[in-house]
Amino acid sequence: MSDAGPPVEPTPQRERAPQRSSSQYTGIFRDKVVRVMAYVAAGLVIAFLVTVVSALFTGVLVPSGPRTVAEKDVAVAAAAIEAGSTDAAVWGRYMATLIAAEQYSRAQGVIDDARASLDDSATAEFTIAEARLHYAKGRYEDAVEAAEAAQKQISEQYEAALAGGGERARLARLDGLHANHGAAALIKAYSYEALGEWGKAIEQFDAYLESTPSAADILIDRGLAKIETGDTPGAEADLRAALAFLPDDREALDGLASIGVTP
Amino acid sequence: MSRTTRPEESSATVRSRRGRRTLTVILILLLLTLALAVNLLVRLITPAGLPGRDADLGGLEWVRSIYGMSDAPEDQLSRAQAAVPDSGGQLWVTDGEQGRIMRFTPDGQFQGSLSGPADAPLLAPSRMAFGPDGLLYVCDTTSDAIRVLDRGGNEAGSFNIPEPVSVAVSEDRIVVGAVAGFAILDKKGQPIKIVGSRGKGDGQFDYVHGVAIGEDGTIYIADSFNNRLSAWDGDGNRLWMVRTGKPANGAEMIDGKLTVTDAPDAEEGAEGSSLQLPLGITLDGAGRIVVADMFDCTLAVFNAKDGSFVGRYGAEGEDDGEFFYPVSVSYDSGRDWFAVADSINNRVQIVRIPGSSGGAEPVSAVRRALTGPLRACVPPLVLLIVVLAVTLVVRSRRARAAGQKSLNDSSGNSDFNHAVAYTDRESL
Repeated sequence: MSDAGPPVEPTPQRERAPQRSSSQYTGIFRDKVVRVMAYVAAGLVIAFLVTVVSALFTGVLVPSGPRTVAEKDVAVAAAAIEAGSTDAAVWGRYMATLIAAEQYSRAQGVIDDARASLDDSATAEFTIAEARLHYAKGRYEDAVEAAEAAQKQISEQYEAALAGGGERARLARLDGLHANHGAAALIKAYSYEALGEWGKAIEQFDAYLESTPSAADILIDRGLAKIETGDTPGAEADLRAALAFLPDDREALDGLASIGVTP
Repeated sequence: MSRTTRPEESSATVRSRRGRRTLTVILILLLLTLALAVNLLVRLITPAGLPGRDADLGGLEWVRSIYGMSDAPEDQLSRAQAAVPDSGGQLWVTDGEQGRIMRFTPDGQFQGSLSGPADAPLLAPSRMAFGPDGLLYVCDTTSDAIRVLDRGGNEAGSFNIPEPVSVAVSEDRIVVGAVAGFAILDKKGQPIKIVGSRGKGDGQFDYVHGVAIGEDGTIYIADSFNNRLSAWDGDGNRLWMVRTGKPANGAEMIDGKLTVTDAPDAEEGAEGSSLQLPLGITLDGAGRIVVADMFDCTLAVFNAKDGSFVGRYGAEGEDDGEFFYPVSVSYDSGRDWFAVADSINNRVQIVRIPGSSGGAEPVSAVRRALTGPLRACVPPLVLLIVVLAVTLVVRSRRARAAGQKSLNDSSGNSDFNHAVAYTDRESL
């Protein structure tokens, strides 16, 4: 009697007979509801463990190489870093692939590691990566700030090379500003677009196109930005210029259609 | 009796309530933990940068891509040429750079490579086909030969064909596409019929980059630069031929001058049906012809009975699920998917297109699901079904036993039975 279960009303023999006697259980497990809950909990754990083991045996959890282009870019860039590269451009590419794959905290870690051990003074790779990271995270003002810092860094290095004279100045004159200067202009342009500041975005597109006038995709972006500002003739000119390079480009064709122009 | 049992009943009730509360908390914590673990697992198996966010792939479903033998830059595929599945689903891949045949699991794990026998290595393996005998038939174009290898890379035969660019194998036929037509051979490599000469006219060919053999022995041919599809019986008699778009070889030498001429039947097909440059072809589970349209960067589907256009899938681009110069396509009937050599994107893409299985859609959907990560759920599902079945059997046996006992007892004294039942309850 001392281990009696919860009160139970007398029930007909037909219903009680097949049930296992509660006296076979101890403690809280005398309660049928508790037993059912315990069975469910145990079942869930067993099902989960079986699934994990099954996933291992069926190869679902076994690494099998990159599946997407983003994973491939990250993997190949990481392999180059692991091979011991000290080239800031290689590190910059790795950062860019991590950002493209939306692995932001990992990208920040790589930027910090690179800053601690490598020099990017000539190309501002790491500052550009920071600008990209800000943009990807939706921090557009910070992206503009970082991109401006990168442009300033690149310009100063360029001026210093020119001022130094000799072979270095000659090479600097030949190469012009590093390509990251233009990349920074685009980051600023897209950040301004995201902020709805179309005029400033167009200024940055202008700066980029000054050095790369045949960049059809940027012509399209500038044309679409001009549509937002109401500059229909300017938009038409940009979109038509882009179509000369990319005759079937859907964005350009749609852009022209939106301002009532037939290509 | 009620007075003497009430304290014990009350204590049991309290314990029971406490137990229920404890178990409820444990269950909730367990469910949260499992949900977290499942979330982590899903994140682990979900590829980064999933395709299709804003791409219109025309109904094409991307499964995965294969990029190379390892992550090292020098091990990446370059100008993928062909990817064919063997009977176990393993993918055998060639590209324009490695000069060997690479083998991958259906999940994309690199398994090894082969280059042919040491004394006669493959020079430039391109298109391939597995025969029903499990042997691999490889176009070694630069050596004007079809090389036959076993899975270990050992030579199992070889026969010379001028400039072979495609191959298909059935139980009793080997069909080899070449620059000027195609050859139908028996399994010993002896010619049954050589079809065509080089040119643009009827019965002429200009690079047969695609050959396939149907289950009934019908041979399907993609005459690439003439932009034509045709079907032939096993003896080389033409069954039908359709123009699939404007020929890519508008220019030809006439009297020593390069002259541009259009084929007389080169009118454009219906909207979306014209091909730019048909290269590799295969047959899907529904018996349809699937063509890799290199310059349109899509897969086009045609009816195998008459060559009529069915549909087009994919888009040009470098993102997942998009193609940039796809040059060959093969079908894995076990997994109901296609392996596409996505040449300029330097990868092999595994994709699916609607209606390719040819069977009932629910069955196809289950089969497709079980080739993905969901296959890990099969063992627990089977376990669950077994447990449920055992529980049901045990319960029904108990119920039957109870019914039998009740019948037996019904002939005895009901008061006695009641007393026994009541005593039983007290003994609890």
